[in-house]
Amino acid sequence: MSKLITSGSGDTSATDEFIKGLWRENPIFVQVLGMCPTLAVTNSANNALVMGLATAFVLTLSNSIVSLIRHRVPKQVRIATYIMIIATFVTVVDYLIQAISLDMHKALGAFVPLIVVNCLILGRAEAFASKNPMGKSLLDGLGMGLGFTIALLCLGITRELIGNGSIFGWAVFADSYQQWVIMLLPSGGFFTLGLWLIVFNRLKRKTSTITIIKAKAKTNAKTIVKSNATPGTTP
Amino acid sequence: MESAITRVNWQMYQSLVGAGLLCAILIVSVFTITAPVIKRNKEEALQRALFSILPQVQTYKAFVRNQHGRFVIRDDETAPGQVVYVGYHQDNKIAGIAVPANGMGYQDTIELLYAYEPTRQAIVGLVILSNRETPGLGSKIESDAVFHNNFKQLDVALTANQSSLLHDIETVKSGTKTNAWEIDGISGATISSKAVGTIVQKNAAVLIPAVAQRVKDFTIEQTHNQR
Repeated sequence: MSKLITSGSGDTSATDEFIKGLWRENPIFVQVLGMCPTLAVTNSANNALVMGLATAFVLTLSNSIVSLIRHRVPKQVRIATYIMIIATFVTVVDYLIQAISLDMHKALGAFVPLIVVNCLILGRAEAFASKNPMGKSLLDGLGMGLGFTIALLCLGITRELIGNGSIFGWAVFADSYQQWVIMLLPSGGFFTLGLWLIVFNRLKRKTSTITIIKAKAKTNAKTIVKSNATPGTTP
Repeated sequence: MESAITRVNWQMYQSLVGAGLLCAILIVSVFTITAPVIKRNKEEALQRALFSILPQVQTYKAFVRNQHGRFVIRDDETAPGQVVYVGYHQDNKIAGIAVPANGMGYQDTIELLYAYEPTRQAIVGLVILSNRETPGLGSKIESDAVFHNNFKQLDVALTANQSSLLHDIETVKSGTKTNAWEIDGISGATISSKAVGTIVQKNAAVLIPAVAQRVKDFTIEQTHNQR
């Protein structure tokens, strides 16, 4: 594995491939991809977690396989081949969820088969995995999948907490808590996504401002050192 | 030039057929491994559904309708014919009959289970076992409480000679139900709710007269599958 990862462009970039999906290029909060399951199945933390993990599973494996066969597939049939691979892993995950919990499968309804058409998965296969080695593609899939899962969880936890007064089915508030049922309805999905986008963008802006300030401070310090050193060097 | 085109075509065939074969092997392998577990899960779900639509039942027994029209105890799960689950009170009197039925919905098969009570000549409950209707619209057939209220006392009275239903079950526009044999549809899930009504009507039209005529087939001394 480590050999595969380092065969790309070094350890740092491999880590970066993983991290970028979590924050800088988060599929939901930055790329705004896969909105259908994001809005539809995040009415409870459990549903969000299972959908996130299922998508991450498909994304990671399809990225790896697409990368592995990228030199063997003629470009004319690449999309058809990618879709076939993605559909296979979706079928696998569908059977696995049915085996683990039929109730969960019922709760997710048609959204598990619909992972096939999640633009995030085909997007990563075409834009990344088909152009990069297997190790990097695997990490990209893992990072993006994890980023997707975390974002779904953020929405799922918020909606379940406000809409049902619980998290993962565990009651958080007292029985007297008046549940905001609207949060469990589709409109609640839009409200929650909007709120999370505000929070995420504010955090992102803050982080990038701090980075810019730090970079500026570093440049200024270098200039000062240079200007202080200049008189001494030319007496 | 021609040979170059043939080579590209051959590569395309190779890659598509090769990938297809590998995908098929993977799907079949996973299916083989998970099939017994899924089957067990489905049986458990069926039991839960059975006791939820016939809560007064203490024990139940599965029967299958053979080619002679008689109901016999189902010993072999693969035996062909309509299956019915007969629920009994503690004194072995029939409490109700749960009937699995299926039919085409908006985009795939809807599987359901309805409960028939011979003494009341009515359908007294319905559970959707599986469906792939449009999420948020057609999928309401599973969760809409008002729609499910239709099946708490749905009239399926028989004609005097017990050969057919006195009235066909009909799905009407939401809020326009006037008769006991009508089902109020769901606005926003018209096709799916109508599909449920059609599935129940088609099945009940054949099965309920058959059950009424052969009710003595269900008389047994001992039953298994205790609650």
